[in-house]
Formats: sequence, structure tokens, C-alpha cells
Amino acid sequence: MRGTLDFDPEAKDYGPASPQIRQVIRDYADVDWFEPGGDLDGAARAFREHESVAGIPHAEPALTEGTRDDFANLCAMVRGNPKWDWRMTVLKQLSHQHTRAHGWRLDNQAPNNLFIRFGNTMLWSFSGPRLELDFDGHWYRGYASADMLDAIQWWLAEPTATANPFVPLVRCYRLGVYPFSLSRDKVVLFAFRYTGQRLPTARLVR
Amino acid sequence: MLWPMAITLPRVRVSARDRAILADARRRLAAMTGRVVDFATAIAALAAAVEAAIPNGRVFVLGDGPIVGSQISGIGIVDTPTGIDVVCVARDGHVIRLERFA
Repeated sequence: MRGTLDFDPEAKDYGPASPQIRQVIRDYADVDWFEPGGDLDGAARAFREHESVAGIPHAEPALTEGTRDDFANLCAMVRGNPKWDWRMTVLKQLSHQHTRAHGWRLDNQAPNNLFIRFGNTMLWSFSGPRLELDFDGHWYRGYASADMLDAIQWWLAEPTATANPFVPLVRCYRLGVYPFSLSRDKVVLFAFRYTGQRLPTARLVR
Repeated sequence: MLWPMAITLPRVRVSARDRAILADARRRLAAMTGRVVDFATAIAALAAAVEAAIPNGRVFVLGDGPIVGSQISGIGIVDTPTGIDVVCVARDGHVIRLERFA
């Protein structure tokens, strides 16, 4: 299921990195969530690019096709691992350090369709097209949206960057593949296999 | 005492991380304000607590009201005529009141 943007990225000005940011937004909006037939080989290439650009230790991803239950099991594994936070340990730190290194601050942004101000506090107002998903789909997509926002933030902080480690992650989703970081050296790239089993439900709500 | 009917409340599990963030946000709010608490200051306190707990942590506008909080868990705060509440925005958009924030 694909969502629909309620704005035209081409009509928005995001500063010097507008072309890259519009592309990330379009790519994320094009993701056909939780449908079978993902391109695992293409996603493996994208994931290696992500690791290379991020400068994080190389983890040869395991390519896996599976069912909705398999997807739910992987979600439970990363949720229930007290020793390895699949987002905080690497990706959040990476984005945080890049943001600080380039002096980017959310509070300094002008309100647009990405940000909204309440009092003296600026908030992100965009997290991708809205879809209604099942428990695991909703949970996973929340983190995928964070990758998309981290990609945007990377360009905002460094408009002249020649590479952006979050862009290849967005490409994985667009290829119908869902990365799971299980430990420092174990990554699973998961695609849904064609079965008669019900996939995570998706319903367009806007 | 026997109640005339059973009332089933929606089960919402608030994670330890969300609980810690809300507690920190309350502490920050108390330090920011006097006796009068306004929603904009509550948002500032929540955003600061999220930023302190999560590197590059973000809070979002989750729904009408507005509700401001986590897009992962759906836990957020909303201004009401009687005060600021902690709510959970369910996947289908339903809003479940959990407790008073301030």
C-alpha cells in the first residue's frame, strides 16, 4: 500500500538542498509498504552503501524472505533486546553527531510543511504519508519514517554533502525490503514472500 | 460492592522510556513555570525531555487538539479545558486518555 502526499514537494523550498530533499520525500512516498516481491539483491547493495557512507562496521546482511509471522518475530527480536538498541546505538548517534557537527538546530528552522512552531518550540510536522497499519507494521514504519527525516535533516545540516547515509536506507524500503539490525555484526534484510497469508494491513487514511 | 456493569478500558502499554520521558518533562515543566501551566510550555518541556533521553529525539504533531508526542508509541500530550492530559493516539487515530500531565 502506498500513501499519498498532501503537498507537492516540487512546490516547496527547502533551501540549497531542495532537490535532494524533494527526492527523498518522493522516494519515501513511493514505498509500497509490506507487499511481497522485494528486491533483496538491490537492497543488499543499498545497505552496503549505507554502511560505507556512515562509516560503520561492515555487517554482511542476511537476505531473508518470509511471512507476516516472520516479520513479527523480527520486530519482537529487536524490540526485546536489552543489549542492542537497533536505532539508538548507531543510527540516532550518527544523525545526532552530524547535526551537532554542522551546527544545525531545529529551533532555527523557518516554519514550512516540515516544521511547525508552538510557542518557542519548533516541532517536526511531517513524517510521511499517513497509513493505517497493523501493530508491527505501524511500529516498524515509525522507525522507517525516522530514517527519512534523518535523511532530510542530513541535507539541511550539510546541503553540499556528496553522500547521505540515510538515503540508501530509504532506498531499501522503496525496494520492498526491511532492514533489521539484530546486533553490531548481524543484519537481516527481510522481504515478504508471496503466500496466501494475510500481510500487515494497510489502509490509506489521507 | 458489586458494580452494575464491567467497564473495559483499552489496554495501553506505556514503555519504560516513555514513562521516564514524561516524568522528566513534568520535572522540567515545574522548573519552567509557576502555578500557571500553559500548553506551549508543556510542549517545550516534553521536547526537552525527549531530546535529553534520545539522541536526535523528535516530538511530532500526532493529531488534532493538537496532540504532541511520539510517532512510534503514539504517547503524547494534549490541552483540554481542564488541564493537559497524557493520551495515546491509536493506530486507527482513536485517542485514549491515560492520565493528567499537568
